[in-house]
Amino acid sequence: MSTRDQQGPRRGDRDIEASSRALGLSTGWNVFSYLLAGMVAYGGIGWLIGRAVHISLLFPIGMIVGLGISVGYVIYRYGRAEQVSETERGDDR
Amino acid sequence: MTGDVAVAAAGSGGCHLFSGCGFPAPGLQDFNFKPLFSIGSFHFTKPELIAILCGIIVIALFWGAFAKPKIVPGKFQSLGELGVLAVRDQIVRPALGRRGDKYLPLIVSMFFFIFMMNLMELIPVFQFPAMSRIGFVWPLVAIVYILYIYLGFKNQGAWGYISNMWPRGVPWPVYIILIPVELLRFFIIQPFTLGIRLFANMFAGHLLLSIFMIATWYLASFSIGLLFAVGSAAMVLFVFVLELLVDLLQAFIFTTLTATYIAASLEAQH
Amino acid sequence: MSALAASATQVLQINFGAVGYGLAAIGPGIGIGLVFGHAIEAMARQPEATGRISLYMWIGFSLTEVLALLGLVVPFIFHAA
Repeated sequence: MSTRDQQGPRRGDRDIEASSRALGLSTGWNVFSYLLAGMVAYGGIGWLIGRAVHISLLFPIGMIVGLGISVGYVIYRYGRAEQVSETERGDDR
Repeated sequence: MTGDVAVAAAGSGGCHLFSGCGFPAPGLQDFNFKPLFSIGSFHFTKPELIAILCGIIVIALFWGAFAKPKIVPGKFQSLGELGVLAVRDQIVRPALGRRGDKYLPLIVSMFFFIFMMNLMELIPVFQFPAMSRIGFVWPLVAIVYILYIYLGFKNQGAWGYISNMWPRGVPWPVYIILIPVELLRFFIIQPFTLGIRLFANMFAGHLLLSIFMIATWYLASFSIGLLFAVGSAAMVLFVFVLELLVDLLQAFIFTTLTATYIAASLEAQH
Repeated sequence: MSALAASATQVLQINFGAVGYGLAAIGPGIGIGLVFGHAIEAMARQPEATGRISLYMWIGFSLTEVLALLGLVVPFIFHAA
């Protein structure tokens, strides 16, 4: 039995640290993408509606509303206790 | 680089402080190159030369290391193994686990290609990070994008993939509100930020380096400018080291996020 | 504000929206640095609380980042109104 093979049977500390680093990195950019996407999505919807109704203020209002929606969703999804689970990464060790 | 051309053209001694020409500030024009040669309307410029050269270098390095692999590795092979294992243990395995070994060729090539392209910013003759022209970034992003969408559909079925993306556990009116956000984020914002991150870092780094290098040259006149030229040269050293770090870091982040997106696509329905 | 700003932009060619965003990003820049810095320190003091600390870290980051992103939105408001 090889005692040097850390990758197979046992998850060493360096492993867990690398996994959480990858998870943290992707979480960070996911959060930022949600913020940006909420702003762009509802800004776009607001702009389209504003063009139809001829109120150009709807574009920035849509962006602010979208920002609020995405912040709420980020807090909901990333800020609850049961999210600290190992299945988020989906690896099959 | 047009910045250097302007400097050279400003007189036999070059354009220095107090020699009458203003500071030839680097700007967007320094990212456009005169073509090295043109075939019809196809212009072959320096960034393309750099990109092709980087591809050849990466292929040559790994070919030389692994063409005739031996059980007891020679020096070059162990160097190659070091590179592949580093990528495997630090980038692929943390995100994907063991089944990530299937995607190791892609991730290794991507990592070393991006790293080499970024390093071209610092190597004396080339001094241009090809990734600072956004046209070089989008094909890489397209590879990642098509791959993770394809894998998602293949592993989870069309409906399964889409239904996995939806936020769960929210009441249905909130669900409807979140649909445009989720769709936009997944299909547009996520690949966009992947590419823009690499592009913006390389663009800013090149601009930083060229501003301090041109300033050192410009200030190096036999006057009080010499003092400032020394300070500017110190800044060049600092930015050089910073850019080494940023080159490695950006290649690492790009490939780690690629591995993460592949992992998210491969995730079974939970 | 518009008339003065318009004449100023004509004379000096200042895009106030861009300057406004630059100023708006100072606060959140410091704020995000504080959020992550304290989170890292807390995780270093008590590694077993890393999970819980990360949760609050992401909440704090998203709320702070909103202010920077609002700086992108506000020029459109004052342009439209």
